[in-house]
Amino acid sequence: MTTATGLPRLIPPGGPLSLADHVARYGPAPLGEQGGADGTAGGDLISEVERAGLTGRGGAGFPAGRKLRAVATAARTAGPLRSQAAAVVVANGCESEPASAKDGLLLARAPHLVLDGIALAAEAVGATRCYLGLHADAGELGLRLAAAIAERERAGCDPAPVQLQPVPRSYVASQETALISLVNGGPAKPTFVPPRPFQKGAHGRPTLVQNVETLAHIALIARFGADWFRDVGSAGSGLITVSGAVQRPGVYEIAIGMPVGELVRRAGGPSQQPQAILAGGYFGGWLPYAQALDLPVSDPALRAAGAALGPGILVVLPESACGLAETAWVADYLASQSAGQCGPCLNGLPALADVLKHLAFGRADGRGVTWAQQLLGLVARRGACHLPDGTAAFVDSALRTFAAELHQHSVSGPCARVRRRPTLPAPGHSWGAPA
Amino acid sequence: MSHAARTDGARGPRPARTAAGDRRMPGPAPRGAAARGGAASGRALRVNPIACEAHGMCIELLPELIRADPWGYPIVAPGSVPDDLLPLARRAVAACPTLALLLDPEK
Amino acid sequence: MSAWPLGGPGAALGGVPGALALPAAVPPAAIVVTSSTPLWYLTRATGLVALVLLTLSMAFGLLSSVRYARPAWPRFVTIGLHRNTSLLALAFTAIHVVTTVADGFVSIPLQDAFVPFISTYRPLWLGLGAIAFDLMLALTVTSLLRTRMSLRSWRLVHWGAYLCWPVAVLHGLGTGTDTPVNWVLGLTVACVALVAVLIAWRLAYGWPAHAAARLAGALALVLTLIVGGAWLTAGPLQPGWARRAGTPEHVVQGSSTVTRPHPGGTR
Repeated sequence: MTTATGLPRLIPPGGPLSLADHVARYGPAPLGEQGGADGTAGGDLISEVERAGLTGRGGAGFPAGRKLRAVATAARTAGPLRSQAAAVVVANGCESEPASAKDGLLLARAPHLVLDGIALAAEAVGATRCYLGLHADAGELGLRLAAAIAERERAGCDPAPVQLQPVPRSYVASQETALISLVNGGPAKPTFVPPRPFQKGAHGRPTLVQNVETLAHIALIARFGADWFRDVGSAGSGLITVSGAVQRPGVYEIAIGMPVGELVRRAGGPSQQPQAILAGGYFGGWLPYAQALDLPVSDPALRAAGAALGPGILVVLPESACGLAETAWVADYLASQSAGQCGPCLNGLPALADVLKHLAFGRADGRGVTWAQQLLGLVARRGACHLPDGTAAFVDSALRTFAAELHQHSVSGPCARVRRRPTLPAPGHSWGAPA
Repeated sequence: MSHAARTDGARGPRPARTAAGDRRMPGPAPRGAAARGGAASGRALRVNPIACEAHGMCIELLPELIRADPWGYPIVAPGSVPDDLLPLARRAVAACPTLALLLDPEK
Repeated sequence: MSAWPLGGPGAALGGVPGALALPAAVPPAAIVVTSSTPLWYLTRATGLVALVLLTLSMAFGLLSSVRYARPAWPRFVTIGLHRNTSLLALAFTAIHVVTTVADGFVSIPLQDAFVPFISTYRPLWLGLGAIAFDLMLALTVTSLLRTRMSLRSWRLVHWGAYLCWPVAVLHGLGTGTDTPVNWVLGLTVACVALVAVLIAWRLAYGWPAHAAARLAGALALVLTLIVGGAWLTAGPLQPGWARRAGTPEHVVQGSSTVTRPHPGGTR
């Protein structure tokens, strides 16, 4: 069933799988077949993941094999003390991107696939401790994961113990250095790099931070190989959260490279007249609907078009909404999510949100647009994390995609479609909330 | 203490009133080694944005390569530091009150 | 060795400079016998100059902490002056220490300058000088090595400046034989006033962040000024201070404790 190259691969049909059902469906995790922890551990798995070309599914799209290789090498060449040499694995299940639901679904329906991935990655890099990051308010999901971990401990599945790490619900808390800072007992705020996590992270040790979907893919590659992984789509399969004006919003597992239009059709097609698509979440970009339809759902193609794949997000914006108002709302939310550590972000993002609010709800004039564009240049790449860069890219794409609305707003003020409470999700946020 | 000094007022600190006077992006954009036509030193300047508290010393001491954004934080010219500015760059790095300015070997 | 009343030549005569001897009509009050070698003058002079330089160093440091800057006065000028006055203050303090040790009239060995309260001469007040000196050394060494140490450690040591300067002032007032002299007292008060004003500015800058700490600091400042002023009036400015401060008996002459009616008199 799963050895065939079809889908679904990650999300099993039906309810969540117990450990026994999981092993029955996928076979046992090939632990212990990779060699000892003396430097040859997981050599095969890392090469296989490299060959598969698996990229991180958390949003950055960094090649997973390269990351595994870097951590394994750092752990091997670390100091003579045994404790220095051992690496740490941090699985990122936080999903702080509001428009994404795939990690939550994956953890709910296939927890053992993720936990297999953690165990295999731990063996490959020589880790002796693992953490699974979850938002602190995950509640029931946290309890079920704790039960799954306990089940595996009783069965003696895992080479390294897995500990659940509650993470505060904020956008930047799940950034990799922020997660590590939290694990180290500090605040969930990004830290300055270097040193990068693969060099020195949790407890001062080389640390692998990986999204839970990426780890699930690793668990399957370990069983079925790189060729099997690549046999679907242009770069394997992936989970995409489709939402907005579609008939059946939800998480879809697709072959990477499938056209956007086909994915929208699978989600039941638009529920209202569509005008644009947000691809990649709040660090992604807006695309005019007609232009987006033929684009492949893959990071390189979407980036080339001015958006991104991000953590696999597509939001369909209907004609009845105003793209500028939605953008202002999201910019306001992202500004409130600043960790407050870096001046350009702490100052620049609220200024950007203010000018966008003015453009959307006030009179959009040339000076406002110029100031907005200046701000984009002022904030990008000047923070410790990518919040300012991602916000700048998102706003930049909006100014291009909604240029017609900008013109209309400059001529006759806010359009009738402007809603005081836009539709894009921003949990717990209200207009003008401070950072 | 660093966060306190930075968050007085509604959003961020009062921008430093630097020797350059106008705090809104004074002067032309800083030009890197290539644009200045000098020999490159193989070292590059970088700011640790978390440690930076917009004291503005680097902007005063190395206006050739560093200018202020509207809030007093430094914008560093990209690229290698020219050889003739390297001693000044070292002085600026040593002068930073929070050691946020760094001089790295260029990658 | 001649005997000079405390406060320098002429103080017994109401501060008239240049008087060379006590008038015969002056009853012998408690008189301190002191050295007349140039070393003793040098000690007092360098101590006073060091105090002024240390005050300036504090002032420039405080000015930098409130980010004072003008187009004609960039911040690197403030910091440069802070650094230079600090180093000069240390140099003058070193000379002050050396001349005190070298002046053999009262035995103050070198270790008394580093280890507080072990001296036989006014142990408490001299000891304060040792503490201030030790702090100055720590501040200087850490600052010279600032780029090679952790910022947090450097900052922690640098907070010691808030202890070093008032301790140095107290040392000067308690040990200094020139305290009742008008212009010396005036200079000291001016130094204190300057630093107090700048500390108040520093406490106000950035309000209301860390409000509790700022209010505590303001309270400490006000209390220190009040208590310090009261101590000064009841202590060094009152007759008999030399003996109360711990001047060894062999240095204190005289059989009575008749107080003089005017300020700046013998102690």
